[in-house]
Amino acid sequence: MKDSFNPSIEPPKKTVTLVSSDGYDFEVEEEVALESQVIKDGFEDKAVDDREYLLFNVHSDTLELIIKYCEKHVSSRKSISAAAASSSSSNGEEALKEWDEHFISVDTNTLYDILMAADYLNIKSLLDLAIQKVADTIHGRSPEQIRKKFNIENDSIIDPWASE
Amino acid sequence: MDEEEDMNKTKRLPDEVFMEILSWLPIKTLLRFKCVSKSWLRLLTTDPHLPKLQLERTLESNINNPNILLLQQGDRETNTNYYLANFSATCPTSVKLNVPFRQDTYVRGICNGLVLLHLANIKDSLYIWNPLTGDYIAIPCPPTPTLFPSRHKTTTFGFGFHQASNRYKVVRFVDEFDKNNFVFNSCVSVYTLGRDSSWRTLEKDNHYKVCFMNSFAPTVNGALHWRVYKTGLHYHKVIVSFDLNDEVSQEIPIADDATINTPYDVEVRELGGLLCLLCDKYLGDRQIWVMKQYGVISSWTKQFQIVCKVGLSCSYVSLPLGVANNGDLILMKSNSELVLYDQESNLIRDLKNFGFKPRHIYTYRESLVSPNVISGSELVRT
Repeated sequence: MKDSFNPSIEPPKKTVTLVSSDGYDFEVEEEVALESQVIKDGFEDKAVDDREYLLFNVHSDTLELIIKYCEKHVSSRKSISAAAASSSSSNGEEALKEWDEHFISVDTNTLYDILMAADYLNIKSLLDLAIQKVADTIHGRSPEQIRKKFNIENDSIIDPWASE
Repeated sequence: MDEEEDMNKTKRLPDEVFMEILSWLPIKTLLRFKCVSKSWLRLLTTDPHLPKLQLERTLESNINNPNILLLQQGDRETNTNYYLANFSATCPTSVKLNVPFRQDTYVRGICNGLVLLHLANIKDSLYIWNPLTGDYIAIPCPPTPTLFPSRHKTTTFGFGFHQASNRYKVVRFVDEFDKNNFVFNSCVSVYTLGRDSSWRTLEKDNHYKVCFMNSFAPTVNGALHWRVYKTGLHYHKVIVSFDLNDEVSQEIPIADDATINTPYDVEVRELGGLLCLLCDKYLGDRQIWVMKQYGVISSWTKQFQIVCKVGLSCSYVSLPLGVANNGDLILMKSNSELVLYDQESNLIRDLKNFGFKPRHIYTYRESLVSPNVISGSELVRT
């Protein structure tokens, strides 16, 4: 009997190893790692068994979050395009936005770590998300609150009550 | 979330990252922070780095969608008022600007958030003004050259920025018409902003005469553009460009289709970053052509055709200001009312009533660029 070819069985996923600054290995699917433009650049030139990246600037705590973000975005993109192909209604984009908002609602230090890691790995959407978050925290503040937040000494020569 | 956080435990972001974050904030928010400290004041007023970042970011995010309008109000008898209005906002609010000039002023150019103003009552006085920061400088104007003993003299201005050299230039175009010989003559003078600036009148003779302009010379691809008559061509017109870098004038070819049967082409403008030509056809339809690839004649494309019908008179539809997010054209009617034009249904929708009648409306991008800084003079605080 002929072997039946079953297209629903996918080949084993290719993986990439990311090593955090504190020495932890993270094995992630190739497409997840490729969310980083830095990894994507020159990826094809690298030998398949040499796909290990030492991320000297990213601590394991942060890397875990970054991977979580990339996995979510890869899977959401797939379900959004699948929904579009079958022309079924989907609020995928809306839901992803909500997920992003929740994801980035972290304490200041974690936010800064994510921002710096997204910058280092060049993950544009995550970098934009983090920058927007920091910008939002600055936006509605008074000059006094800004001084407090960023630990700035008040040596201003401008009278804050002077007309604008 | 972090009001209670202990400052001593909070990490610091590197300066360049922090600057990037600040560039994401609205200018009005940033200006409130001038009184935070001396270093923030310097950052927001005299440091050229943040304005540059902020400008790049604005250009990146709304290259095709101007979302801010500069409204000019007042007649020749009174002081000119200026307002900024947010195009995308649903409620028609406009904010009155603090204008440092107590007289009638004309807008002669807008570039990177800076406005080139001409004071009507004082002969030859030009100012570059940032409406948001209030910062401004005066530019002296050279005497108008006499090319012919003619009364038909026109002066137009252009104001642009040359990216590669990081320089702002004010360009004056003076033309005269020799009625007896049917000859046009023109001369171009340039003022490059910077230390020890002065006007230079370019030697080269040009035989152009600028057509009527409803606005100022648009900047596309680092060059200013004028629609001009040319000596020897009688009433046929050409587009002439003036490169802000090498200061060379060049004629820009126009697609034949755009000009055939079009004696009434209106003017050359910029639309969504592209060179744009407005043409009125004999039957009254208005066509808007854009040059998709700058300098390539075959790339002229008819982008919009506003078909005239009852209730939609084209003479009444005036200048395109930009393209809205949904692809509709934003037009300013000759009475300075704003309308949206939907090409598919050929329908015009009234857009906004600002509570007063503007004299003119310009698209505008906010910036922190300081006229004092770009002209090289120290910012003096009183």
